[in-house]
Amino acid sequence: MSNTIEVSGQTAQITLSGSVDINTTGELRNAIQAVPTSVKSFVINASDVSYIDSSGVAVMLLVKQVAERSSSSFAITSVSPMVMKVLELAKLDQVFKIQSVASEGGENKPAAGPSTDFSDLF
Amino acid sequence: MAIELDIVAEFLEAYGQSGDVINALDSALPKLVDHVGCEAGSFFFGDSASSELVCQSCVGPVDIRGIRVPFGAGVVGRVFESQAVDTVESVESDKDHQRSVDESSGFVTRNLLTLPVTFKKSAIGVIQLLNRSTDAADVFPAPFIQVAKALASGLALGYHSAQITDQVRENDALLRDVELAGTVQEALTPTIPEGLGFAAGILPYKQLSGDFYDYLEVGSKVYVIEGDVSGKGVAASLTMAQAQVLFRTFARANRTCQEIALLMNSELYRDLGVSRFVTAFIACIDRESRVVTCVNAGHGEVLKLEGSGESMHIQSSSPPLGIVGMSDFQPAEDVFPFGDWRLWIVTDGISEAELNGAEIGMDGIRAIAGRYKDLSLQEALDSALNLIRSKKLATRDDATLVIVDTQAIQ
Repeated sequence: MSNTIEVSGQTAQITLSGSVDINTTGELRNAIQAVPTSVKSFVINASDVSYIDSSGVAVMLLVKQVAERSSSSFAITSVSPMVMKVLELAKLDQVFKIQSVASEGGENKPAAGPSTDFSDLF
Repeated sequence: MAIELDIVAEFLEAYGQSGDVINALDSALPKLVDHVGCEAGSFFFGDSASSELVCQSCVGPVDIRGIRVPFGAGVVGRVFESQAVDTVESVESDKDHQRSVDESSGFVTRNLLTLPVTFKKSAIGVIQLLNRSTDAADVFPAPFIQVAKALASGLALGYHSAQITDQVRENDALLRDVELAGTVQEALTPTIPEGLGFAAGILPYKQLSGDFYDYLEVGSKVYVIEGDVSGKGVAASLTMAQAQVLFRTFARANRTCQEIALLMNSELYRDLGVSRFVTAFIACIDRESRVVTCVNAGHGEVLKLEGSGESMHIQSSSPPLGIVGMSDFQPAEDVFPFGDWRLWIVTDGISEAELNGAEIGMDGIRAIAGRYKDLSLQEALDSALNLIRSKKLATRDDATLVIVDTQAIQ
């Protein structure tokens, strides 16, 4: 799993996958800022993301910012339910227009629920 | 072979004592030149910043230290690029030989042996030996080249070692800076006096935290903020300090929580501009009107647990601070009269902490808050943070907890 950027013609396709955090986004940030000015369309696909932290969200914002600065189009074609949850909790769904939410994948981190027994904690 | 080892050993010993590669070479190069019967010798260092080879050490009738040759130019440039040993038995027949150096120095070059100095295939520079006096047809026989190669290897090792030493020194300096920044950050994290109606604690995951909390007492009001800056390290800690200053400035002006959020957003949106942001929960405990007003700006859910056991989540009403401009930033206030309830405000280092491999989420926070509801405010805070300290809860992030309890106001 890795985070990649592919430039083809006037389109930059950014694919986020697996864990998108401060440890996995450093090179991607540099690559986004080095995208040639000929690119006129930025597309993010985050459908295979199992974990995203604030650094990962910051990368999505960076892509949006780079697109806006160059008057390019910007789209998020798909996000995983985990990413959608994070964006909704932080009200960032007001900032990003998400085209679709991918169906639940098998690699998402398990989450506790109302029926979880927390007695192990105490 | 003994003499080669002696020369290299002497070079390494001199380097070990002085820690200066050129100083060590200055003492070893004359011995090499003398041993192989040459008139002169020099070492050129490849300066990638200027794309030039610079003579740093030389021995012979003319001092050429400081002379510069562009990469690829002359015989030294050729060897630096090819990284192959190069013998020129008569410079008359070599097209790359730079006669201008001879003309300006008065030195007459007849023959040359030039060797690359490399470490792990990375070129460091070249050694050049000039004017070997011999009647033999083979001016630079194999054993002769072997000696020079041995010194070149020793030199490469010395250079590499020097580079590592420099790097360690730089890292040490950086670590000292980070340590200092951590101390400054700790000083910016206030100790909360008892009786204000809230308790707060922070467990940085590493030396520098991206989380913070702060408070300011203004008349009958106590303003409280818990924040989380995106990213980590020194840059995040600078943003954190900026956010704290903004909070204090606007709280001191007796602004409402909504106004504080709006003004902080406006400043951070103008200044950050590099996809950095701050999630924040801002509360105002007003002891005169006996209400708690709060704003959640992208900070995730906050638990409000009643004494009866009922609970609700205070959702974020706006994106985090610093992302959108004024027109798109409209945080809403929640107002709660004083009563038998507590607010549990956590950063994601707690809500995303794991128990038995599963993220505890708000259900876990609810379970913890319920378990400690009968403890004093400070005891509840300490007990909750101890779950992380004791590693019962596993986290990969800074963990910050603020608990508001109006019944604890004195």
